[in-house]
Amino acid sequence: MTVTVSLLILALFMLIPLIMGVVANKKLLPTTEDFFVQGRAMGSVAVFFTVAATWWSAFAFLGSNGYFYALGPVYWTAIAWNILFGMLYFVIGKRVWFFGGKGNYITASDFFRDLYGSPALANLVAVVMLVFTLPYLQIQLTGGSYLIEVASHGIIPWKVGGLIFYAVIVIYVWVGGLRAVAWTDIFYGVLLFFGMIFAGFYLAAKIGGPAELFRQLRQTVPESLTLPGPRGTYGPMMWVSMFIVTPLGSFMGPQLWTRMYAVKSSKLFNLMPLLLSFAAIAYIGSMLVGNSGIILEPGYPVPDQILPTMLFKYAPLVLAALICAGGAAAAMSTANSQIHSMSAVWTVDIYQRYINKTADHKRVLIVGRLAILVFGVGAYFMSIFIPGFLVSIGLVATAGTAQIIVPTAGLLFWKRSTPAGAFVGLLAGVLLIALLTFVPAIKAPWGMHAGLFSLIVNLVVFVIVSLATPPRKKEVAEKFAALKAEYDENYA
Amino acid sequence: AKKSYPGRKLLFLLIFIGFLIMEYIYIFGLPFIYSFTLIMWAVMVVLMLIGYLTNWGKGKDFTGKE
Repeated sequence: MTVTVSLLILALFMLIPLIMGVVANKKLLPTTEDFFVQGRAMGSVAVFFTVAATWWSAFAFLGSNGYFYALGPVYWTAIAWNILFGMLYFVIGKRVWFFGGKGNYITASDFFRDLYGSPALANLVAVVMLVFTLPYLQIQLTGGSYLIEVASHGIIPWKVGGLIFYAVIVIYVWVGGLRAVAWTDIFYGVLLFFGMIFAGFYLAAKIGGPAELFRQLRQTVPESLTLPGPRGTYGPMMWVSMFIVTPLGSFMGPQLWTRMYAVKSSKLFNLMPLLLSFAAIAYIGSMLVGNSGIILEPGYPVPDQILPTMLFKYAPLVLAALICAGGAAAAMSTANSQIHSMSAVWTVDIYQRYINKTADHKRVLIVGRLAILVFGVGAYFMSIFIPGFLVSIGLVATAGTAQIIVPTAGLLFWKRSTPAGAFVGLLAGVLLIALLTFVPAIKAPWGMHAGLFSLIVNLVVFVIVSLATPPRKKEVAEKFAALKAEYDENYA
Repeated sequence: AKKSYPGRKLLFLLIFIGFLIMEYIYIFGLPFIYSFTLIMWAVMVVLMLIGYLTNWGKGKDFTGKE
């Protein structure tokens, strides 16, 4: 009986987004702009939920528990990085929104092509986004499909769960575009926020509440309550590295560029830092889950799976299935946005610009939808063949997209920034990440994460090369200056 | 000339100091690291609220067309 109820919960969880996709399709206009950025008319509630749910992924829901469980308190820096993310959305996002509206941009590359006047830089940004977003998409499918397996009591194996997971996303993104993604993110966002908090307090209550939980930890495993954690590997430099790399990487991902362009009102950017900072409180849930696991399930071999394991052992089955659905919501709400925005990068930056310059809207939409299918299949196969710690893979992916912040902020706030400086700096940053990730003998200095060290190198190279190369073309610089003056006058 | 808003500069300075305190480390019954960050989180949320309510430090001087 309870298994049937669990399966029904999962079926509902899959069915609701599909219904939303069909309803969103009724409002869909047959234009590229409507499919990819909702005609730049997304309202406040949808923007908040789609930004928060896209930003909180399997990395946040499952990976955070695993980190608290196995590596000590280092993930707690997420409280600060959520606030930083909110500030980035206000300071950078509002400017990107303004320039995007003026130039009818759909992808990040449009921004760089137009305002730096550099097709080479725009193409490099498109490649960096596609290459580094795919592994991040992969961890969503891995996390989500595992939760489906657990919530169905093994009736749906994770490989089949992943296929269902992927098929549902492709269908509703295919039929409804960004509007369907944003609507389903409201549903996912509520589910994951309350699921995270409830799971934490529920499991801590099994020990006697948070105060009793930490009293026991102080006596038995005190090293799990301080940096660098029980393994001695996650100290202050990782605390700072994660604080900088994670929000920058997520913020510069293609899915967040979409969520800057699509906003209807500039006033929403003023409110987002408060809303996103407040939402960070949900991390209390994963902090309590991970720490409860140390007492309830010591020595569990797969830290990323500690939450579903404990739920099915200590909570009623239906409740466990419901919270697992919240975890799958965290994964799906990020995966849907990534598949959608990667499709935009492929369709607008590559197909429309280099393969078929005269394609009409109908043709472009067909290509965009086929790209959704292809990126989903790619991520599905990666999730089968490339296993790994959810957060570790996520950190490499976010480290890659984080590099794009240097040319972005450089353009917006430094007159002397040049396309050559932006190109060489970005290339240096991503090549260094590849080197530090795939050559174990080479390590970033001072215990820094590879992403933070690459970001510093990227910035230094950007400044030096910009100072040594000619400034932006006169007409490009004048156009930017005129737009910036309009922004400063009305929105700054 | 671009208009200057001293209120905004002060607010951004306070937020920057808040981040420095949260990030720059040296055991409700929560141990020190969790309690300390939660207290700072509450301070930062108040700063974000002040930011929103004061038009991010621009107050009533702002005449733009938001």
